[in-house]
Amino acid sequence: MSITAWFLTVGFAALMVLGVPFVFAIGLSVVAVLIAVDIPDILLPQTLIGGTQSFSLLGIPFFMLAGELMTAGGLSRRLIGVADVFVRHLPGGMGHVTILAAVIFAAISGSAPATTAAIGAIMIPAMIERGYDAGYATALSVSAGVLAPLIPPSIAFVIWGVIAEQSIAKLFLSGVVPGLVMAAALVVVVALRAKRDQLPRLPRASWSEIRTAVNDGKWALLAPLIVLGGIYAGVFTPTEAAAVACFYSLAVGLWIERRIRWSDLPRIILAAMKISAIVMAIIAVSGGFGVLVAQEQLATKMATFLGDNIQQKWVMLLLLNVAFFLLAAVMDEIAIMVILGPMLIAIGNKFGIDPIHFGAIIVTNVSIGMAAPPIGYCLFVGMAISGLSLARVAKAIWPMVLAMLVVLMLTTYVPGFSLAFQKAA
Amino acid sequence: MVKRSITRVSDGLVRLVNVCVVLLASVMLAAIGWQVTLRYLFNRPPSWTEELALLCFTWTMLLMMALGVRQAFHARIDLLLDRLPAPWAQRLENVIGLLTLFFGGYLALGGWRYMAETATSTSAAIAYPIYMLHGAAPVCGALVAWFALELLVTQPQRQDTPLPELAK
Repeated sequence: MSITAWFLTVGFAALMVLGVPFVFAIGLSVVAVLIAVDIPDILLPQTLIGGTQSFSLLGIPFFMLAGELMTAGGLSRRLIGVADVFVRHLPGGMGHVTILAAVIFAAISGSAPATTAAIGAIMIPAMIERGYDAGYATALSVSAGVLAPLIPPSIAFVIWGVIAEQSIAKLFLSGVVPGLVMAAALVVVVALRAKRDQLPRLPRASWSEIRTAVNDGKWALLAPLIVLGGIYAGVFTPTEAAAVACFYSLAVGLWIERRIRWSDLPRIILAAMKISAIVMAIIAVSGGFGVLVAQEQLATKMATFLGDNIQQKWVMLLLLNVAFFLLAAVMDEIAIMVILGPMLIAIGNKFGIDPIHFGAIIVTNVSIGMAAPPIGYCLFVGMAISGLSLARVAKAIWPMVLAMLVVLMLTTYVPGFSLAFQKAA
Repeated sequence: MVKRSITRVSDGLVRLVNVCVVLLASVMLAAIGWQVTLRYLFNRPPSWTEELALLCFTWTMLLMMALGVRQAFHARIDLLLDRLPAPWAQRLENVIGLLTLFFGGYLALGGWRYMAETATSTSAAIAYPIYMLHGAAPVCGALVAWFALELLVTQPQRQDTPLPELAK
């Protein structure tokens, strides 16, 4: 193995284990190679700037901001109100409300942490108040939140689209069926749990209640139609749609719901930019990493090695899913996508996997990684809301993670799942 | 005394970064909003909006990346740090701080050279001097280095990676 390969693999892993933030672990591995191999130091700033000069990635802060504005403007509360009147009477009704509200919210925000925070902040206390176990309430909100990367629009698909150079609109559509099936799988988990624990059932909503909730929530319900309708009608690009979602949520929050004041905007913008920077910093710094990986042909060599030793496509896909799941236990999912992206794409090509289908497999893995212990990002968002320990939430979330893994297998081995709507794009 | 001065400078830098980020993000959003409006209403998309938005995007993200050092919001694995006795954990934090300082310094110097080498170029659509874009790298590097230095000097109590504002 060359010195470059050593720094980019062993060196990077050692820095991660020591506790260096992912962004600096990636950056320091690049710096080490630049010094060791005597490559001009301008490669680092050049690739760092280049990594942020992408119009598609510009959608990330806008989607984050849309999520923040929707929460601050009370739209997420309205969505929950709508979900409540339709499904609260089912066994484990509050759980179903959480899932349905998350699905609708995800159709605007595209961000798993934003969805978890928006829905969880309301539903976790409400569920606990009605006698649900706190660990279960948190785990369910986290699981519902991670539907967001699959339900279009989706930040994870934007990132994968940029890495794999695939149509982001097509990738968005590839997540619809896996996302809805994952939501259905969570519904089953909720129903089984309700039966086991004899959870209280709420009365069915009357027609007047339904009318009132839908009327109150009409502005919130209109948002996904504008965003997704705009993208697929060809009115705007995904990035522009994200900006439009921001303006829409801002206008509703300011003038209709009247929950946002102009003086709130700096705080809202900073919160959205902060969480965007966590993702974007990793992507930007990985630019240099990617250049060095390409120079060394590490991705191609690894894909060739795997291709030579593993003949069956299904075994390769199984291995890939297991590896992603294990890696997500020690590494940020976005970092996995960006760092291993070139190798994953080379493997996908070698085995003749449809790139859109392959994107859906990767993003389903990302979704699960965000909820799975020990470092699932949304898990920490849920813990911050409920104040529970990782151990307690981790114990409660396993049935949901298992249900998600079943959906991952379906997405992996039934290409029709992710390719169902491709003709529409 | 030195600690207090460094903290005061850092507090000022954080305020400055926050103001810049809010302004840049607002311009970024306004530019794309204007682009959609002009194209949709007048079928005449402007040529400058995308470039302006991307300029603001780069600055916003790199400034926030540096702020992440001070506010410790970058994702990392702290399993090892959690298992070490407190004095050893603090030593390891110092090593991480030094490594971050080195990265910031390297980026600041390399970024400065990159900016100087491309100083005469201009952007494609607006024709703004390209150092306005490339300047984000040395500024980011210098801020990363400064905030890492502050952590090394002030030695704050170790805490878990703070959660995003969204969770509050």
